[in-house]
Amino acid sequence: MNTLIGYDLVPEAKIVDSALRACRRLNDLASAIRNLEAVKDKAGPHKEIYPYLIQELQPTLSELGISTPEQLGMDKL
Amino acid sequence: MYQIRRPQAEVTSNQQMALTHHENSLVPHVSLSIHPEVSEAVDMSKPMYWDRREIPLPDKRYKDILTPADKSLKEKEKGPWGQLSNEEKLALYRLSFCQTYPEMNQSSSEWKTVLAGVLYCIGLTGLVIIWQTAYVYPPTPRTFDAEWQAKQVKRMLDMRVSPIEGFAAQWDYEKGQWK
Repeated sequence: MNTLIGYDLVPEAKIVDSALRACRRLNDLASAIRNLEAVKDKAGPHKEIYPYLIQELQPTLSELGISTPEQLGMDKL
Repeated sequence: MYQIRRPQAEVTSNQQMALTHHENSLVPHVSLSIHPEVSEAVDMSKPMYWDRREIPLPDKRYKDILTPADKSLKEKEKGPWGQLSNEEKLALYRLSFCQTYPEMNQSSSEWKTVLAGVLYCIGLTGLVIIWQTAYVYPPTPRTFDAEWQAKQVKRMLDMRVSPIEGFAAQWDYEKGQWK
């Protein structure tokens, strides 16, 4: 995941989906939320990418019970 | 051993032998008590934790020592995540990570301090220069006097210095004035 974030791209929904499922297998919710934060940070000034990604990932998020950082209030300082 | 200051000192499990660096000598001594804000030696051969934008998942979790409450939370994490409340999810996040991305990315006002320091130093230098001109410099040479300068200009014009495009070209010789 670190390598993926090292690339100059925002991962596709499918890739983030696999990452979230991997976190579920490892019983690591914190990493799942961290992944979402990292992907949002990767989008940089292009603010429309992250909401699109969340929209695509919504089925997975509901299935696995992962809250987005916004739902947890973590995107505010 | 490398010294760093940790704002929140977290006890690592191998803290029995800490090499602490005193002012004058490197003395290894057994240190079991950890105080906040104390410089402690970090063993860089082991996996370390850090908050970086490009490394979302560091080599190790943030908190090493888990209280029984934390441990039970970790057990609950193994079940369906939908059953965790928002506070519990936040608590799990804070167990694994120190700062969130927005906290990590926030800008500081350090630049104001830096600019103030720079301007202060320049100001001090200015004061030193003023004192220097008053007390250190020898008297200015006579070639700087207005009268001498006027005579010098006259001599240059008489010599026709740069008559085509330069100095004397700007002087109107018929009228005796600058063009």
